[in-house]
Amino acid sequence: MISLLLATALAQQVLDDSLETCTPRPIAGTVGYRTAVQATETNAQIYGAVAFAERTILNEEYGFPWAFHSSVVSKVTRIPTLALCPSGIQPGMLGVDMYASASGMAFAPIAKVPELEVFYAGSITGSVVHFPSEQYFNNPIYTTYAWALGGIGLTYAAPLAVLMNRDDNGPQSAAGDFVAGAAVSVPKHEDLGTFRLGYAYSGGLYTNIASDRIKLLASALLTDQIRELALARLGFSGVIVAEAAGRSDAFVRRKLLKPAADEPEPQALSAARAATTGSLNLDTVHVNQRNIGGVLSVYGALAVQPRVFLHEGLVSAMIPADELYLRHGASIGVMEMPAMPWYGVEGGRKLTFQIKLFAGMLSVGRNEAELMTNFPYAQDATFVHIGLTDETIDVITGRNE
Amino acid sequence: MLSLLLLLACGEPFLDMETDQVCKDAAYAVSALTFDCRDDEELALARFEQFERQFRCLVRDIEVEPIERYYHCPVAIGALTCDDEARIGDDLAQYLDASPACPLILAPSGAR
Repeated sequence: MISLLLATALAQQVLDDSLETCTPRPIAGTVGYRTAVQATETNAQIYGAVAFAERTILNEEYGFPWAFHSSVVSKVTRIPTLALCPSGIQPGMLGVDMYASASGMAFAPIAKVPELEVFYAGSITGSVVHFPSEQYFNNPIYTTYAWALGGIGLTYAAPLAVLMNRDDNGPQSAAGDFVAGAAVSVPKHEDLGTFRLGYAYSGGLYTNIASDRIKLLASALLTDQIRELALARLGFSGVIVAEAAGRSDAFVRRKLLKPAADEPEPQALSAARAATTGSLNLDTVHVNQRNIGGVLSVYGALAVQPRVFLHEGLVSAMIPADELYLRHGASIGVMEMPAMPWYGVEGGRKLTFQIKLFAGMLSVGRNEAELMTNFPYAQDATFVHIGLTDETIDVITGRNE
Repeated sequence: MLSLLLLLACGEPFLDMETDQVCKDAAYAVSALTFDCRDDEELALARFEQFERQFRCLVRDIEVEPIERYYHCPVAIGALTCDDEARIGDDLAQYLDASPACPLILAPSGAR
């Protein structure tokens, strides 16, 4: 708590006092403005409930019936803005923060039929813009983090997402999303295979087939038009060849970098243009070797579309402690995204790093490859994740021993 | 340490604008229009690069120049329709006709 107050006080110092009497006017119609609006939609559609459920309650390795997670991405994009000040107009770039909070559960509703499970995951996502203000509580720590952490409790009400503000509301807005469905396993041989079918409010039909015995995982999220694969994954996850070598993953993944938007386009765009919105698939091949000797993990991802390049090369190390409060770690590597000037970014290779505390319950970093596939425009944005991860569960359940 | 990490994650809310930002935004707008209308990322990237090569930015000092008026240029390019994009095609100089502000901030690279 003292740390939080100290950080808040420091953040207050960072704010530029000379701008406190100014009124920010983001310039609508610029690529930066459109990107900020689209970032909220993307946040809800891809960083929301489905991705969270796949990482946690629907993850065969995870084996935990409940999870929560909250993320803040600081300055995910910047909008050209005119600050209207008493002394005149001051042009600048206004930062947009994103937050995503999610929680979910999976359980067997009928005790005598353990092969049948129902699952639910909800998420509240949104964007916040900050401007130097004389109001003490209007600083990044109080506002963005308050939304992110408060959102965890609201995720159970995410089916009310349809009632939330889904209209074009400029660069600052919130959206709810949820995925709900049922899973059926092979009776008396649950590890042989599980078939899941659900409905994702933002995406449409969601299917997932997994076999713990052969470590196979296949999943797909179809948009409502059933024309586009918003997210697809096929491969093997958590294969153990030798205990000391840890777990291996090998899979191919397709991610739609710009999901089909059903939102009204900004006013500046004509109806003719809104009807044809471009999209770009990022196809990647992933090979991971996790928990080598209980300490080291290596992650590699090669992009094959839109062109061939090293998407991610990362080395991660964790202190091999059994206690949660002692298990900390860090990762460092490089990542690359294609140039996408239509989002206002010019691509290139970036240094990526992450500091993980308490077995990943709190982590801070920059240029995370996974994050960049969700927000391609978030180059050099800083993120903070808070919540349960597969590493945390490994420590809690003693599975890492 | 936690304080430091959280502070690091905050970032500066309002950064100074680069001198050539409005010109960059015009090039981004051409790329975004191409991408939206053609669904062709190679063409959208090629037109961005071509636009950057073909025109130079005339903005010298955003403290004294009327940036708010200059921004009419990228906003007007961004408001063009797909019919406009089809008509203009690869003749990128026509994008400067989208707004009277465009010739104030962009000039052919060879011109003085």
